[in-house]
Amino acid sequence: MTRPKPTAHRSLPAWRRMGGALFRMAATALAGGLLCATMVRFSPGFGLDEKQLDPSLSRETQAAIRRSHDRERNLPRFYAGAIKRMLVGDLGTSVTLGRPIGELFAERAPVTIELMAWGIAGAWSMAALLAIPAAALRSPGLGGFCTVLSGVPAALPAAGMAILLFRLGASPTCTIALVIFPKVYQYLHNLLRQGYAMPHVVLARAKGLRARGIFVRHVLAPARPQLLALAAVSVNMAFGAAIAVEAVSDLPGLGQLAWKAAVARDLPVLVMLTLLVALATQLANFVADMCSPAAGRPA
Amino acid sequence: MRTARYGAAGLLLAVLLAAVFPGLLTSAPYDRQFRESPNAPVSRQFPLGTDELGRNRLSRLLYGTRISLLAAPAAALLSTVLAAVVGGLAGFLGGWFDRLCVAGIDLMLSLPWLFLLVIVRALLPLNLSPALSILVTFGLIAVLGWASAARLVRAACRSLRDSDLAIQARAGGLPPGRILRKHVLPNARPVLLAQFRASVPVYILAEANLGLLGLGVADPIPSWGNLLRPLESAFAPDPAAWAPLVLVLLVVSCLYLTQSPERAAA
Repeated sequence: MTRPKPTAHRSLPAWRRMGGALFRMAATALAGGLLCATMVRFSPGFGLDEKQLDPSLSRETQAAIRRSHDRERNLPRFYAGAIKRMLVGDLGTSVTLGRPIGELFAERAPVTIELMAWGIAGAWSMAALLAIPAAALRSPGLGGFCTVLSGVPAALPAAGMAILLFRLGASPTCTIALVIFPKVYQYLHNLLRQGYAMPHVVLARAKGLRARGIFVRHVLAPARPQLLALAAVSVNMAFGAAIAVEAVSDLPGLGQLAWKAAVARDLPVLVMLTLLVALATQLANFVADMCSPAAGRPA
Repeated sequence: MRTARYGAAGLLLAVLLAAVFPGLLTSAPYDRQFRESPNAPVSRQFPLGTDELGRNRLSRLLYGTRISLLAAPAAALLSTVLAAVVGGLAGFLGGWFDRLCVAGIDLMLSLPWLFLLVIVRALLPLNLSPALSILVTFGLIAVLGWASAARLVRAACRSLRDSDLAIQARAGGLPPGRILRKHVLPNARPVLLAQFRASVPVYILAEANLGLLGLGVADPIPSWGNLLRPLESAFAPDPAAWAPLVLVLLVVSCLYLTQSPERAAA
């Protein structure tokens, strides 16, 4: 058991910090892909091809199909081959849809990105609209009302809420916003409440400083790193919600692709999607880290 | 607030009793088909009507409630134990093991929870027997849900490792394993308990999502997830078909309400 050493990474030059963060991001995404590939390799039914049951194929053809699957049984070779192909832009082919995975991603990503962007914006707007007055006024009635309002969507499954709102004629964006909203509200409210309880903020209020000035300079500014981290986590939450919403609303996005690939056990699509999602969430965290005002400050 | 918490606990108890003793409210088994009355409306014989196969919705809802209310805490217990083992050892031992565990936790948390569940569920056989599908669904939720709890347990054990009591125990010559077992983990019990209680509603919702997407508990065994499926496919579902969603909302709200002190502290 060793005494914790003082960390010096905050005083490292910006390019080294950025390089380290980029390395961690790539390593995590690759580890996610490798983990998924490992699970795919050992999942039941791996390497079985229904073409092998086709009596019209010659013995040589069937042997060739078997050999092609035998090559995939070596996990490091399978994953190294997938990475190598990925680096030249070939993500493989979907087994069920019979189309290049890269093409499917390019076609579907804009739908999901748009849905997630509007959903996150909606959730943050709703959360800010409720959390700011609830924290600033410190009224138990308003706080209780906001907690109940945010508690209802938090107690419903995302897919159930998607069906309910779909039946009510609401857009899928609303559903994404409502799925993310309770978590954003809860965190934002706690953060702002803590900010308003700081002694210098209490003093500033007692001295009669303008409410807007107090909020912007003394409550919001110190909470910026946490808010940026929450924004990065929102991306993660939004993609999770997009799976349920796109599946229920029949929207041709990446979420629906993930669900269809899961139901049809389209393993190449699942591996590539895991890699893509891990990379996207790591990228969101990286951007939040780099934008954080604490990033460049020495410890 | 206290009254609301007592009310929520009472309601939870009533739902649990109804689920454990469904015979008090209905006599029909969950899989019995009343072939002469499929899609029957609400009546005295069928208080929530019947589904498209003529099965009594109320009895299916009660049996489904039993599965969700008993299996979700079991899954939460398993994931809390996993979190205690991984987080406890990582926080207590430190060094390369801690770094390895943190990397694993980061990796698990970098993927959206529902996405992770859907992907891993897809890699397991989909044509399971109904009883086995319960085990696989909740087992999977438990095995994939330990990461966020492990992070908190690790932080708690890390601070306990450097606390006065641990230093005194080390100075007294206690072996590290005993310090972890007798002093560190028992002191981390409030964190573990809070994590267990916070996991139960999350796992109920996870099962409902998986079931609704067709990757959860298999028919004919009812669960809240697969009871919600007809809502997706039916053109204009019967209002009584929304009962499972209302019950999920009620039970999960009550669970959140009963654990509010821990949530507020967190």
